[in-house]
Amino acid sequence: MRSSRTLQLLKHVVCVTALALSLSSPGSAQSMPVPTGAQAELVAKLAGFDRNFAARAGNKAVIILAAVPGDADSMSAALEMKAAFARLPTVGNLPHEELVVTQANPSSLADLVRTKHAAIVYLGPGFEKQIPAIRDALSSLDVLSVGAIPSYVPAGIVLGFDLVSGRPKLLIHVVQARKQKVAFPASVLSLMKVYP
Amino acid sequence: MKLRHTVAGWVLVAGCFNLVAVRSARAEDTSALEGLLSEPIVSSASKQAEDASSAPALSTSLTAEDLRRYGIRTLAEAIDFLSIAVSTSDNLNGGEVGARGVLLTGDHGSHFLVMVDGYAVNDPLRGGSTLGVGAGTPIELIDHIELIVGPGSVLYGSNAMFGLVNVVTKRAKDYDGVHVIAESALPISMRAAAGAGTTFTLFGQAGELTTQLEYYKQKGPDLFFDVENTGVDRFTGRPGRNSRDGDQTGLWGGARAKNSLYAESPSALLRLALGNTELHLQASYYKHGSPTGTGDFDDPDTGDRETRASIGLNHRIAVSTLLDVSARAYATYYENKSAFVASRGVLCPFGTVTCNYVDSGKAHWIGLELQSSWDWFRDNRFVTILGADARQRSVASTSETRDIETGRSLYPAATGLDNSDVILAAYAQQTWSIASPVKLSGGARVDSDPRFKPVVTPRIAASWNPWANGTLKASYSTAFRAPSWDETDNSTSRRIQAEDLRPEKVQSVDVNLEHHVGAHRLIIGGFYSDWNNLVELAPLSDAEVRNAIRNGQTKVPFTPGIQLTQYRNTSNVTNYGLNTGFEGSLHSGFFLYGFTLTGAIANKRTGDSSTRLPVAPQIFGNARVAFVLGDQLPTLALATHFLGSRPADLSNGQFTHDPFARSQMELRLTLSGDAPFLKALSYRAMVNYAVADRGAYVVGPVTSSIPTQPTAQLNPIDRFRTTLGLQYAF
Repeated sequence: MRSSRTLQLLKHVVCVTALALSLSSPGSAQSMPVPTGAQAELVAKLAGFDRNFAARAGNKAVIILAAVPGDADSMSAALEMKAAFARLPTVGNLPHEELVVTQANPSSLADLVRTKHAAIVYLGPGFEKQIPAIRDALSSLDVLSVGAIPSYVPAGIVLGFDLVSGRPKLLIHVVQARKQKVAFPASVLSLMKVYP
Repeated sequence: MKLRHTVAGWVLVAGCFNLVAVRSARAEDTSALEGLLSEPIVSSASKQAEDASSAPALSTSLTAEDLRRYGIRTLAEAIDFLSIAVSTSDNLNGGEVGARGVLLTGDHGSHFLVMVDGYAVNDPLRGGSTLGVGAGTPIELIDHIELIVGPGSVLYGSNAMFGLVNVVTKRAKDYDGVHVIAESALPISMRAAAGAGTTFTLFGQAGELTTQLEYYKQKGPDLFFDVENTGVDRFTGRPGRNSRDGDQTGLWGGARAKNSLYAESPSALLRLALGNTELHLQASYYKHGSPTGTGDFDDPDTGDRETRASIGLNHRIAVSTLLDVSARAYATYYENKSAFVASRGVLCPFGTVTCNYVDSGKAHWIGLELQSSWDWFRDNRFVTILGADARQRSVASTSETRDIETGRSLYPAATGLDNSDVILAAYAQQTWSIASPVKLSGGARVDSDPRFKPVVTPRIAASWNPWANGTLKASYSTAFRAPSWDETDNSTSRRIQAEDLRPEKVQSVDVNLEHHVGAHRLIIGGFYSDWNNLVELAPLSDAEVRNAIRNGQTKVPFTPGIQLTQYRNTSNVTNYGLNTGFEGSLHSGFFLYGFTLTGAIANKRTGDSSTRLPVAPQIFGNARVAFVLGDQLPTLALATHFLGSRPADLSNGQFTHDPFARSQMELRLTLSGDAPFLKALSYRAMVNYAVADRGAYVVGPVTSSIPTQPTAQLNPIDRFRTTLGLQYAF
């Protein structure tokens, strides 16, 4: 008797939960495969291999961490990246400063990169649909664009991360890298999955 | 003195490692970057993605590339050839698994929690798991395997006593297109499979589908079993029969087993994702013979048939930067039928007919797990995970004994199981990155099962980076295993129902040091574990048998000398030891290497006596090297795993001389790559050789010394085997 009452209760819990989840607003369609701590370490290390990074950054590397307005996943990624960078003494062997922005407009994002003299712009989850426009807006700028989601890279973001066989994998869009004056040596490119 | 030598040995190993690593680092500017890229990311230890080196347990991740290049065909082989501190043991009956010097023979794999994409595959009837060919997880679809060694009930509940294995399947982008696979261990087995992966957009959301269907069939190897003389059957007064249509010779074996070494296993796995929702479907059937038992020799009907089907649905919502919520609904169906054919009088009434003991069981569970993750400072520094799991489960079983020729029931059928209940659990975990080099983690889980008092399993862990690229971590962790319904409430013709069975528990203290230089990673660790209330199938004394029959605990009529058993909390185990491993790559991945070694002591205490745990090796490990020659050229790899000598399963005074299994070393040479003129076609060819010809299990009808057969026979090993596999992708 008691068991059947508990079973009934369990069924109610299942139904209510299913309803609540189906009515809730979806977050970003894709989540980050690589934890932010590992992403920040990789960016900090890779920036040192970029031949134009020191000239681009000047005395201090400014890093823009962009999130989609109203997207909790995206904002969480930006805030976590800010904290992860804060734990690193240098990025590309330079002191650094992070700036979290909520920005959905590609041209405004490009303006911000220009005015802040940003060396790196990091895009959190949620930008999937804007990536082609962001690629075009950043094409004429001297900046390393980094994406949290693997699918950003084939669409035109210079650098990205994936998790393959439980290990981080670097992705690079070489044509876009050339346009944005990002130049890695062949020894680094050999460690990356290269998108032409 | 011994301790001083051991410490000196470890220092020497660490020194050599640093020397090799530093020389390599100097030669390659990108070595630090390679180091970051070679660091495994695991998510099973604390339900959060994190570096393996800072996870709150000894964690390793086995890659899909390694599975392919080292010729791995099953999860059991992946563990043996590639993992640290865990090893399996082939008993010709589905296999067994142990860790850090503890292996509990006969446990059906119920002390290891096995998951596929986070869904437990341990069956709801016995809590068992299969890591061999019947696992139903296609090897080509595996992206990586996370192995968390040590007690892990804090987030996962029952069964995670040795640790847990989480098989993570490939995303569609890594298994794009259609794949057709054929592989054969010549000439005894054939595996044919077809899989596919694709991405799509539906309702404006990104989706993906991966799936594989597989069929495996094995006939053989026709292993030779030495003859055993069972002597005069006390019921007939003549030598017993050891086959259903054989003469009364008293002889078992003395021939190749041509009918009882077989397996068949169709299976399917599908994963469908849309946005933040994932659907997981898995089904398998596993039929295999059991040639080593005490019944008739080489009888094809002695064996097991298992059917598993599971469905899981997972949805995750990022509510805000503070809160992340996920819900996971799951259901599993399991069916098992095992048959045991015997003709001797001591096993079958009067020795004049042949008995077929058939145990059947069905079980299912359906449950819902809700989990919330609270990132209090929005920077992943102070995160609380709260979760709850509710599960309804049902089990049913029957046990009967029939004359195999006429189908007539020989004993009244045992009552069997017909139970259902609801089990509830709640867990909490707090992680705190105090400062850059220090990370703390603490948590506890409460599991409520109507059969027992609630069980609380806490874990605390700390990791510290005392120097660059070095991590020192320590943990105290606990786990339990709720005895299965079969153990607590079931009885069969030869087993009476258990009384007051309690959950098994283990607590462990672990200290691990990890250091990496470039792409080279070294792990050195030590552990001390205390296992309590271990459940075993205990033989009843003659007086207990008489009482059981008198009290109606068995339907078996009284027969002098009859053997009855009962599940009991019989023993405790003290377990301690060291494990080490190092792995890495040189020349940008041209040369890969890996090595692990575990030395462990496990003493089983029953009453006042203390004995070495049988079957479990005190020293074991593996080593591997691979030459990755390039895109157009094949990869050549050599892997080996080794086990020290160990007592056989029946080595507690049953025989005049306790049987011991010799040290074993298994070598596997693999050649793999893409076909030269057909890029879509890839191949791998393996040659396997085992040095020792016997395992650690006593086989045949003689389970203790008798005048006609004073010594034990250990299970034969298939020593040499060649395997060829082809995969076509389009």
